[in-house]
Amino acid sequence: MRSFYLLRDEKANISMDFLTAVAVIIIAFIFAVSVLSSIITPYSGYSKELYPTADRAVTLLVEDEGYWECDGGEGTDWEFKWNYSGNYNYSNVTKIGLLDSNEKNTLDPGKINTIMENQGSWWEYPVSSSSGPELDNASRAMGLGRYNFYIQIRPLNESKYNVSAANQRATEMVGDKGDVVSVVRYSRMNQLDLDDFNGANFFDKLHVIIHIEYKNIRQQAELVCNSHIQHKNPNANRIMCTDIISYK
Amino acid sequence: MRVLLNDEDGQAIPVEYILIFTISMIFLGLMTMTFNSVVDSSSRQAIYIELTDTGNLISSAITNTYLTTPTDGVNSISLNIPAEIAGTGYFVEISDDDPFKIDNKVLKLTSMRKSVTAYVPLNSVDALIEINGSALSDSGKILIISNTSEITISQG
Repeated sequence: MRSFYLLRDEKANISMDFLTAVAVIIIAFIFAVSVLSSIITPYSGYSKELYPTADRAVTLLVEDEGYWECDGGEGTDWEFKWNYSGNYNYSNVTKIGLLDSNEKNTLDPGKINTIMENQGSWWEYPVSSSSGPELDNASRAMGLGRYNFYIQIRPLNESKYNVSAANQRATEMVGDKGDVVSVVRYSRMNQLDLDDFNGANFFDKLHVIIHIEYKNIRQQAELVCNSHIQHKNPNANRIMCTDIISYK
Repeated sequence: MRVLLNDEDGQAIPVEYILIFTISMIFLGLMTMTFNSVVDSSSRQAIYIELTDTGNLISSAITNTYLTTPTDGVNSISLNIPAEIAGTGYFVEISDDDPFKIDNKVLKLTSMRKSVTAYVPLNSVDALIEINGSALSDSGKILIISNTSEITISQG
């Protein structure tokens, strides 16, 4: 009797079908918005931007000699301007490149030693002693101005260096958050190898790693990208490997 | 209070219809605005990502052009790019307008509609060689010409 009263009474009624329709539409709308958001979110990262940037950076690093320019002249021997006998002229170095000016397809150990710190048989940059102005100029001259970065150069022959120590150092510097993409590149370096010394210079085996990350936070998003560029040098029985690892 | 809650007299059907219609219209309006906002945001995001991809394609081509330029003569590359992104053309230019204040030139891509802009780094290639030029995406091609002193981009 009571239910009959509820169903048939039209006095001061509110349309139940209207409320039902509104509820259904709201649920559908919330569902659509949440699905749209989940579709868009995977593309909100910038790994696609980091990878080619890192690729270009490592290309220029191993295939270009670098360049310096000031009122007194210009040249590719930027290592003498960067830090020579305690004279720091970072701003005069417009481009950092590790290619040997006199040797084709070969990296210059003088240039590597100028900017990077030797850890025995592998190199890294930056280190804790790297000053702010030096780091700013290095990132500018490597074309990584909008990124933080970390570089390692290692022998490709793993018996030549402490792999776990170098890996540990890289992990400490880069961290382990976000997506990681790697690009590897092989090259060679002309240097004196005392182990095999026979009076000649050898193309020594090395391994370089660069980590870069965004300085700007456009969407407060975390994004990690390792670029690891590889290329084999067919002319050398000893090769150098260059990794660029970028992350955000 | 009891009277207010239980009094079912004096209802006016037209008033009820008007009220429901008004509420429905307001609800529909809010929903449309929210949906348009979400779609617009997604569209901008898609355009930005596509512009960034295209910019990186062009920037990498510029780097390769620089590295393969002969000591005498001219290097010329015709690069295929999307004529439209999200249904609209875009403008490509070498710009000093670096939003990251690094004193390097950047590749600036601006969508014709929605005014979405993407900046792609040239990785300091401009420190090694002069880079200039601009192009519209209409033809779907960009021409990159380099010699020992300059790299120029133009519409292909």
